[in-house]
Amino acid sequence: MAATSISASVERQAVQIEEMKHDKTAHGEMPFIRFLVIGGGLGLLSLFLIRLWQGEWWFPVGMDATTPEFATYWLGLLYVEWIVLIATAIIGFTAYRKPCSTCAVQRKELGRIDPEHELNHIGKLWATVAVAAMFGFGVSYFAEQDAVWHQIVVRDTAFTPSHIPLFFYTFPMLIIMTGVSSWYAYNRLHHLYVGEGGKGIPICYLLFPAGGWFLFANVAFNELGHSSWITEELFVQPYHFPFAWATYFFFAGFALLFKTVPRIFENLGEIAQQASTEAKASS
Amino acid sequence: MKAEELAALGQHKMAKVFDVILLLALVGFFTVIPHVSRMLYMGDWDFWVDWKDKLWWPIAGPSAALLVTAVGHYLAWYYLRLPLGATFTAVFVLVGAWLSRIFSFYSMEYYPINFIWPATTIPMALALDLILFWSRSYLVTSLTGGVLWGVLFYPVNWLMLMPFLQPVTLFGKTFTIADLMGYYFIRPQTPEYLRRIDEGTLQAFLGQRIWISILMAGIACTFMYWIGIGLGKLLGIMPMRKVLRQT
Amino acid sequence: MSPLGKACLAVSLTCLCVFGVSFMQAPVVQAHGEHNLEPFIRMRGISFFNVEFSHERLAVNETMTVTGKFRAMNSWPRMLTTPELAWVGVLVPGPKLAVRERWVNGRFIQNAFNIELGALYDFKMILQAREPGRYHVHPLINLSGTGGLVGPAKWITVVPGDTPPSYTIQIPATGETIDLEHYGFGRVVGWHIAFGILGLAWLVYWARRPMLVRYALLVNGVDEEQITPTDRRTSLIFGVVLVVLVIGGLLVTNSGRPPIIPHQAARMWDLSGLPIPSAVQTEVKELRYNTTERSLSIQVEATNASDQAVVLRKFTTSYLSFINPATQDLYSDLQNEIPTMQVEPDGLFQPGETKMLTLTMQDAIWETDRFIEFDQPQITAAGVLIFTDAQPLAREGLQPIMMGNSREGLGVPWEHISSLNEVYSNIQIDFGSMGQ
Repeated sequence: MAATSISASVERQAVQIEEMKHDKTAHGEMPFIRFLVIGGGLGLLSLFLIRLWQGEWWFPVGMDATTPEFATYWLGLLYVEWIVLIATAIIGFTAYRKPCSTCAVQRKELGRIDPEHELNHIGKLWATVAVAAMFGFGVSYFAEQDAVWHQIVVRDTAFTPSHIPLFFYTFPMLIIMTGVSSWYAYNRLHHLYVGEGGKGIPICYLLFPAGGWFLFANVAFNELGHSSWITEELFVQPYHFPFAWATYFFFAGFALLFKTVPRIFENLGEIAQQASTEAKASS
Repeated sequence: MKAEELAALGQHKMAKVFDVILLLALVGFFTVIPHVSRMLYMGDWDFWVDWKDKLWWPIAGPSAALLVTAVGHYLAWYYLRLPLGATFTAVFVLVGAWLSRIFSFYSMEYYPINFIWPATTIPMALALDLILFWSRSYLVTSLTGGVLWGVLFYPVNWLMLMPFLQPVTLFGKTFTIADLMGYYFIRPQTPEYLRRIDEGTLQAFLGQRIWISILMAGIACTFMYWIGIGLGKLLGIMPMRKVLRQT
Repeated sequence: MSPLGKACLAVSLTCLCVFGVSFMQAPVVQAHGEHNLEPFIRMRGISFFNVEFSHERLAVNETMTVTGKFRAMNSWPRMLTTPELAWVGVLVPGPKLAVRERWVNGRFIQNAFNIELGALYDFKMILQAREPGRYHVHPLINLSGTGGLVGPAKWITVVPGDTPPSYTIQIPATGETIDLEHYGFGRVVGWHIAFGILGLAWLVYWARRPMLVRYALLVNGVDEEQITPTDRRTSLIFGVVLVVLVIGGLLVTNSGRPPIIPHQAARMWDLSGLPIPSAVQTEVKELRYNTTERSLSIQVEATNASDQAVVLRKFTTSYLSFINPATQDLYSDLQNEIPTMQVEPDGLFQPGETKMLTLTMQDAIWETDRFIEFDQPQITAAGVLIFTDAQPLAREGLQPIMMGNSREGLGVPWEHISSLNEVYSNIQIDFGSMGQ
């Protein structure tokens, strides 16, 4: 009975693989591009919308954190951001919580992963990194905006109109997106980092999300500094430096990516070879 | 696989897609990382023309800007054998800076653009890439390109700064035009006394103080180049190999 | 689309809707969060007197004057750095109004100036409107080590003018008249574009070729061979262009160079305070705050040491003022919206007379604007009692001054002020019936 159900499940998955291949040829060969375009597009769109929101509301209601309007418009934005963050985190981490079943079946049936399938995994990993990079633009823009926004207000809260997108949206989003990259690599492409059947955690999995985490962590130090030592806006003051140090951890993203490059070309080589064999056979 | 076959795979459609994604990742991260470093290490000097002095800006500016540029320069050469990393970083840090100056400084608070322009590092970055390309040696690049980076920073930006240093008089006081802009276009929370500018030194060397700053910048940048390379190695390359074994 | 993709889109669309709906709300206009600096810094930092704004409405390029006096309090919170340098300006949302002139104690202020605790200063600023809008404009005193302390603000409306904003000044060495609004812009943008094109050309030259395969080749032992002789020749061209551009640029810029000087950083260290009117001597006995009534009461023993009768006119702290209604008989100036205080016993203060005065100021502003806050390691209050001479003035003899934040009223001219007396003490809190 058990043997029958296992073989039935394997058969079902084999059919799924066939269907997936069919699906791929019908909709293009690279589904990870869809992920990249939607993910990156939504990311940039969210940053753009926040900037529009700021343009509309920072002067009328953004300068005094104790007013009810501030709570409506700015804390409202903050809560919307948090919803987006929580949703992204839940979707990102649950979607890739288990190793790919197709890979498992292919390993079992073919003894290896289909090169095209694996390329798609690698492509998706790269896409997650590129989507994270789009939020990097957000950090770049909103961080420098902070310098000029705080020119004109008496600093009264950690949730200022420039901090809300910077500290409480792009920083956590970078933690989430870089975390999803590592999570994806761990659950889909771990064999590229530690070898087939290998165990262990490559430190690029940890260092890449550490960038966002250290950025966010330094918010605490920053707020302590501004409440204790200087109320003015001197951007070059030393307790801002750890923000810069934190961003250096993003370099580990390139280690994460480049580790897969030889495999991309191995797989591409095999695909090309298969294509030429098939062409020969058909001729 | 033979090298020719491998090289031919570079033209594969999928390989090109990966190239594009790499560029996107590079553009994003090599905008934010150098830009955050720039704004936090040399920010106020970079934001305001009345901070662009001849003592601290020529030293703090290039040293701060070189750090991440050197990482880009090193990683591009290490991974791709492409001499474009420094230029790439220098170009995209300016994209980030200009976006902020136009859409925050100008369109939000209406500071005039001629008061808030960022310094450029593109010529020095190109020189750095070229020197590495020609010499194939980090040592030679640090000793020549690094020095050039520091030494050229002030003169290259002086091309833009010079007109702002002309003296004008107001109620019997002498200002530079840059000072006067800082005076008019008020920064309520970065008041004048926070300006970290040359307030007068012991003035050795017959008043030619600027050359001391420029020389110091050249030397500082030689070291900064190596710090950048170390950072690139430590965080951009080494993590590829290191695996924490589970116990 | 996969269920996952649908979920993502659904979340995004919901957020968009929330955004869209909120855009339709009517705008309100706010101040600067001026009551957010710690209470003890505001009350014990700088006191402002007789702040006057010459205009309420002006067109772009028109100028207005802000004048007033301020005093760095003796009760300065000593756990903060004692300020050495100060800078005077206005708190506005960016340079929507430009500061054309700053004068302190009749002297033109170029850079920061020294400040002494307890001293009295007179300021005058000429502001020029730049960008249409409605702005809450505070006089602002920045103190080194502490930050900006704001005085009472007024709403100023700037309307479009006939000409765009302009700040012309003549450069003496060349005789050229320039406009600071645009000066040097073309040169800055021109050089950025020139270097930008050069850098981008270099990037395009390299990045248009297949990139990642270079790493795969490198791993397979193909290293320097990836670089072609064409690359070397191209690099030489870039090198030459770079050198020509930089050296040529420097030669051209230097050849027509007008006289230049470094940034001017001279600060004013010899600014002495104005004489402080001191007809009355006071000794603070008690400060008490009643939480149920939200009233601050001050008990102070005051002696009129002058040879003229005086009257207690006002208590002022930070941007707040409370008027003694008994002075209505003298000045007939009171308007409903100006906060008042109860003074016991009130009336004239004859020469040589000593009185135990009790002032009671009942106002929710103590708590709404965080002047009295219990979540503080030092629950203190401070301010200045202002005594004026007892000479009656007609309404015409009074002038419009700021009587609080965004609140203007008729005030007694400075020459009639006889005494400024600082009040500072810990507060005794009377929790009243809070527990019941």
